[in-house]
Amino acid sequence: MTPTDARIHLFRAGSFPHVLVVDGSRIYEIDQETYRRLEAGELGLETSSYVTDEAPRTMPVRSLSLAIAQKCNLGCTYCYAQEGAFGAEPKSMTREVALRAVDLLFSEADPKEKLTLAFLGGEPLTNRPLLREAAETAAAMAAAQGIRIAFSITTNGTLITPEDGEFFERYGFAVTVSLDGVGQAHDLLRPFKDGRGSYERILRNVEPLLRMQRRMQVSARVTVTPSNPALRHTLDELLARGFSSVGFTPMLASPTGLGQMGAAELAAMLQEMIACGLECERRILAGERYGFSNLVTALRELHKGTHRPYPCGAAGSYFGVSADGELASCHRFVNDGAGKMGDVIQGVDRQAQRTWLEDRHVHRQSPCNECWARYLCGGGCHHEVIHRGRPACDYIRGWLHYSLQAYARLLKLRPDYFAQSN
Amino acid sequence: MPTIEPKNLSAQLAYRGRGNPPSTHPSSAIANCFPGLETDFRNLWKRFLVGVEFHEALNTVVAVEAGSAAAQAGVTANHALTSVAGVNLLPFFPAGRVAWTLDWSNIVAPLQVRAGQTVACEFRIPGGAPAPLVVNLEIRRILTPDTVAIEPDAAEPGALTQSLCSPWQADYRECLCFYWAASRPDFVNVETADGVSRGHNWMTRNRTAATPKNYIEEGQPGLVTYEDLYRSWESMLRFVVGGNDAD
Repeated sequence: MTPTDARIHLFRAGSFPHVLVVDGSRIYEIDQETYRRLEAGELGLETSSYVTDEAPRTMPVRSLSLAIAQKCNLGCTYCYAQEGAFGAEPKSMTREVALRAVDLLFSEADPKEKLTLAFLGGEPLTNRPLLREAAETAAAMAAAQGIRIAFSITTNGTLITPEDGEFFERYGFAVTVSLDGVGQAHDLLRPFKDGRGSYERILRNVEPLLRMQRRMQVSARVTVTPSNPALRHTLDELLARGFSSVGFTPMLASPTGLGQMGAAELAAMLQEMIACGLECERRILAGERYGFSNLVTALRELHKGTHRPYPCGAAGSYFGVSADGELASCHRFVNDGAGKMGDVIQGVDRQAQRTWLEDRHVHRQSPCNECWARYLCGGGCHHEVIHRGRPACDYIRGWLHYSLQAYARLLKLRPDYFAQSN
Repeated sequence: MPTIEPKNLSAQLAYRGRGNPPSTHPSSAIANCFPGLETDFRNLWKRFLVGVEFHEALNTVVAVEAGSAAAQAGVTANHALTSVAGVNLLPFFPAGRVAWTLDWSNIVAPLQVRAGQTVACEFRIPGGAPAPLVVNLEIRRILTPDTVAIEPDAAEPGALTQSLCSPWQADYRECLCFYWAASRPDFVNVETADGVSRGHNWMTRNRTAATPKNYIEEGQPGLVTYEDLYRSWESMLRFVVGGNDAD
């Protein structure tokens, strides 16, 4: 990695020198001499500013995730929701709360934008009838008001039925199944509460959905801990099963501390991620589809030049809704005072939102304000940062450095790939 | 010569060509009045149909490419486009040719989703036969796909700046109505008698001491025109000293 100042980041794609101008996430190919002079600090840099210190004062609600069931039939050791109940009594959302939440989502809807309604938990399918009613209600409201809406669900996959698949297909759900590896690697991390493995059951349940996905997209999300480091094997196995995409996220903050990744494990994970990325590049060059979502997403965002002072939409346009109807900064902050944002009756607590947006702005985060990756990373997951800090900065920078190289290589060799992805 | 080539979309948008001043960027432009002080985007629509060149703000044909489908069908300069791809333009051009500039852009820009397709077009000579000349023409692609670059065929070099207003002349003439700052007069050679003031509008063309002192209102003949200012402002405008023309 090239040491440089935090306004630019130099990288090579093959032998071709490039520079990322951090503000605006602008990517340029430059000549060898310019590269050398930038590296040596001989060239000044004058750049217009796209990201200011100012936080947005308020943002309308665009996305909600409903913790439709704060209970779960699995006993994953690292779960931020502490086996699904967020450290409290297991409970399900009431009909009134769910429908109030849908009303809230539509209360500030702008026909030009797209709303998102997500179902999380706990395991959301333990409260199936309400999930369906909420989705049907929202779809009907969207149709009546001429507003676009997208649905998503994150599920452990143990309770999914073919009828669920038909429902998700009808409403075009993005279905994310949590799978932490193949077979035993998964079972070790994601057992039923009585200790039995869940992998076989999940794959059996999900198989009909994989076959029927047209509007619906079924993807796998892999939480990476020190005990499931074989990413490339997991990726190929799950893609071969028919998942439309597979993404990996390192476990950085668990309530128990179990399964958290340390520096050495993150370094090893980076190597695995790059191995997956190189295979993905090879497949793209060959004109094949290969749903390694971490790289596919990175390529899309780098091509657009996405730059933002936050890691996600939490407490901006996105909120989590607890089973009791309280709003939280996101689905991870349910029952967590640090992210309290009002409730579905009163709406968003605008003062709390403003404070959050001001405090969490990446310019207010240290050492982020001195990091070249700040507008690509946004400062890291708020939940992880607040509860553990930032143990993964080298990993994130390493991955972004690789992604920049992959982008520049592919743009040279397969510019048509980016034309398609727009 | 150092090479700095923008690669991704945000870099392309922010790119400033070698030798171009900062004002060539839309983000740093003033552009407070059409056709703008920096670029005139209306020129992008002049060639939106392959083979035909329109006036930048009107449905009027100014040129037809020899041998093109339009030429073969008999379209000539002075024809007006009255329908394109099923969009009836007559309501926008009640008098045949007069339109507000942005209306024209707003009509033509959405047709870009059909770039590359051939669509039915109707042309008429204003005041001529009511039956239109119907011809199928291709909608030209204005932007290179998936970039923010203008297609070379859509605009010749210099096209984006060729119809800019000449700022001071245009604004100077535009602000005729007692609006312009104190640096110029408006009512000159004034004589007051019996409580009535008589004098010249300072834009009265070719006035002398003998020119009757009737104030000419904007819109009436006899005032200096925009073209007069563009072509020979220095002979059209006169020094005024103490409220009177200085000869």
